[in-house]
Amino acid sequence: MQRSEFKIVICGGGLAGLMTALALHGALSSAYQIVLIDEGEDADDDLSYGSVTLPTAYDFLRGLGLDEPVLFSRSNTSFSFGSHYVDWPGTDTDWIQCHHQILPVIGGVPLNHHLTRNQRSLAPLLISGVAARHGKFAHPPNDASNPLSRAEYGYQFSAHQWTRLLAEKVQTSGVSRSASSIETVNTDNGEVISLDLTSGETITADLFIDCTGPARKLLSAVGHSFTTIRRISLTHSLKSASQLGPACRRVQASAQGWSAHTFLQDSVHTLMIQKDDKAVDATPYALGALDVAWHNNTVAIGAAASAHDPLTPGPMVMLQRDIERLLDLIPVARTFDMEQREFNRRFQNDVNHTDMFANAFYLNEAPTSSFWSEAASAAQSPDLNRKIVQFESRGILTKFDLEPFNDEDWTVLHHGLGRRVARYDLQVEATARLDIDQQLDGMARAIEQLVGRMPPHHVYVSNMKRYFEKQKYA
Amino acid sequence: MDFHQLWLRLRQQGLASRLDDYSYPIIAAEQGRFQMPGEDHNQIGSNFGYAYQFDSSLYAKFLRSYCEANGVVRTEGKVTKASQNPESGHVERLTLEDGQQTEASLFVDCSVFRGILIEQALNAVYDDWSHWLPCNRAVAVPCEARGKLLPYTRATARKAGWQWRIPLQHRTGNGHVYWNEYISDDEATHQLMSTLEGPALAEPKQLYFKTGRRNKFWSRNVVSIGLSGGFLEPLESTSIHLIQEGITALIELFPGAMIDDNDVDEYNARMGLNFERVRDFLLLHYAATQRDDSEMWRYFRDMTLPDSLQEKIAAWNTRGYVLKYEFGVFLPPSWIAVMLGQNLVPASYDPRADKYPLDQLNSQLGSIKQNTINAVEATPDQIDFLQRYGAASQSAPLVASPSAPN
Repeated sequence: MQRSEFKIVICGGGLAGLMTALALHGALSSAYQIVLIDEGEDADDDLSYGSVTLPTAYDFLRGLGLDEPVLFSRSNTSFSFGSHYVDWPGTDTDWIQCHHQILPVIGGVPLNHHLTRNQRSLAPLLISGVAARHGKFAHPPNDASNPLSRAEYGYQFSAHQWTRLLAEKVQTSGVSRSASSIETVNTDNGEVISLDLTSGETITADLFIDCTGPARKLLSAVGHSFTTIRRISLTHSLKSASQLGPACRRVQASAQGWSAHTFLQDSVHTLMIQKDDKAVDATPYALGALDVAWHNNTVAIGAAASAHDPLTPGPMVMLQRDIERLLDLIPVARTFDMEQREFNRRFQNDVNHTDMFANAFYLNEAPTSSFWSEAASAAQSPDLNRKIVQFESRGILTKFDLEPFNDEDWTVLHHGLGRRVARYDLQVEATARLDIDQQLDGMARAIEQLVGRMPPHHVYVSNMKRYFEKQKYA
Repeated sequence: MDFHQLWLRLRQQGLASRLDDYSYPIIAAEQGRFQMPGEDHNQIGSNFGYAYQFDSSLYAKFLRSYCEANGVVRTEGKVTKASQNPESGHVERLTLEDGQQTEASLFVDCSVFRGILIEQALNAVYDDWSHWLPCNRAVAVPCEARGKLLPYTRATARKAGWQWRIPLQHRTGNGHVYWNEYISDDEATHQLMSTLEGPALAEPKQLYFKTGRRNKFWSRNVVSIGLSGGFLEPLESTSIHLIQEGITALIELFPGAMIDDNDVDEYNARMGLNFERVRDFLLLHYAATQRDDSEMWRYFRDMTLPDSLQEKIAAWNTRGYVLKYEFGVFLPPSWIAVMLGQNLVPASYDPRADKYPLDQLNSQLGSIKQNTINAVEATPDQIDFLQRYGAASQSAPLVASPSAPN
């Protein structure tokens, strides 16, 4: 079958627009003409994506041509074993929300039940968390007998620097790029007909992709409204650093909100989140989502479609999922009702599941400030309640289809937030309590010893970059 | 990129044979061959699952002896009364026909369609799905085995239902599932008996059912597992799977001193989802057919499908897209098999498949096809495998007695 020509116009020059352009260009044949209207980066908009990713970013970024030699040699990206939450309301201790492979099953029963029975902590058994706490990092090996093989990692990143790298990739990719801005969105009967650009050009397309961030220039032109769940303000600052910090972001709560310190190769980036009327020089930001992200011939991607709390890697997860969902459903003809319905179905599920993970942080007892009370009020949902009730009742992880945060993420979170499990699965009693204690002691000891031999994060990254240099990867 | 999308592209170019030709378990099954999946995941013959065809009466006997040997106390008798607590409504005591009484904190109702506790005592509403899955009767009969022992079940469409053939080592199981609106019991039985491959080994047995599910599988202190909780006709042999799901969920949510309403809600939500996803898959077998030579098939052709299934079919027909879900017994390969098997060929395919050079794609798929043939040729016949595996039946093939029905 010979496909007829199909033109896709992507509007927006930030992370979302550039990633979408590269992803589509890399996946589709020349029958699909990809045009990027690059309005330039809006640094404030891209701040909303936060500064950390989940481990799934590794494959996604490689698919865009951003492999580790590029990321580490050409930007200030660093590794992330997770995020370190400090002084979080309702908790007695801090914890590292680390990335980890499937937790062990002992005697046919998930680890969680043994921990409940033996009244033990999860943290010493998570190598990524222990290593992050000690400021250590090394790539997880394939050798399953090595405890480090169970670690997973994402990245700490600067949206600004990733945008620069992506823009360079787009320049050399063959994507047709127009450095211009949208002056008018011409619509008819709920469809975008054309875009008038500041360059004087009028551009038409079969499909328009709205990556214009919170401006939502295209979707708002066709009449779609954004439902705001909660308003926050973002304040950020960058401080140069002579030495790279730990392989985990540090998130600290206060009565007015929280702040996150991201440790990049050359600097520490600080993002402060408060209620939107607190800081004079802050950027107001509305959390929420469009009712539908794909409407007729227009699709919203990233912050144009939904805005998520940067407390977790949720915003980047959502951007990645938006693009992957679009790739799965690129139209095969000029009518795309089915694609639109399925995209919106998956979009709604992804929005709900991404928000549910961040919302779970806000249901602990918190300061009485308006920031915390508004966050707690917006966090309530029957699905989240079902998850918490089942975990606290008997350590069960209630699951929904294709959640972006996996069982391990939820287990670490529940433990970190101090949620106690009332009773364990009686099947654990088939193994003697003492035997389990010895086994868990052995696991914790092996992790502690191995972490002691791992290099500090900054040393590892320096050596790795030297290696890349030698291999001429950079 | 899903394999079937690449195949669809080649097919549209006239370069691919049927999708089944690239599937080791399908080719092996067609030839009556079987072996366990290989452990090297880079090799063809490693990435398939398998299940069992078995004699349910023998299996039940085996389970009974296994249970009793492991400490299960079995009381035989007919329940005549279930006494409930007047305040909580919980079942407290069962009285048997011989006067014996049994008290318990939790009751599991496995009383098949009667639902002695879940329906008769607790009146849990049965959500009737007959308008989607209207076949409501079956007649079953075993017959002498004939021919090669095939590792698959055959389902043959009939004018008012379908007929199963399940080949076992010692006999072949047969049954005709039908909708009594369009065929009489006598005619259904005649159709079955006249198409047996060998002499019948028993009188045909008549079965009655109504497809649907309890709105509450778990109500108060009664958990309904198996057919008392719901029934979806045996077209994909899902009843035992749903029993397994019920047992697994009950063990995970097993009550402590008190029954927690949250656990009950969780159990009912999980089982409800399981039933719904199986229902859609079964209905697909009827709805996707192009057959219209009888009243029943015309009924399905004209019926309004559940939105969830309608959307799945539309997505497939448009571009070979299989709606993504994580939970539910039937994974994308099952959906693809039924849709393609019923001649639902997508109008297009995922455009990402066009990124691969056609010659290269053709060559790669050709290699997979040839490697599949080679792997199947090296696979033993199922009967040889069973003997080698130590699973050959110890009983000789059953033979019909002179008085058995024809």
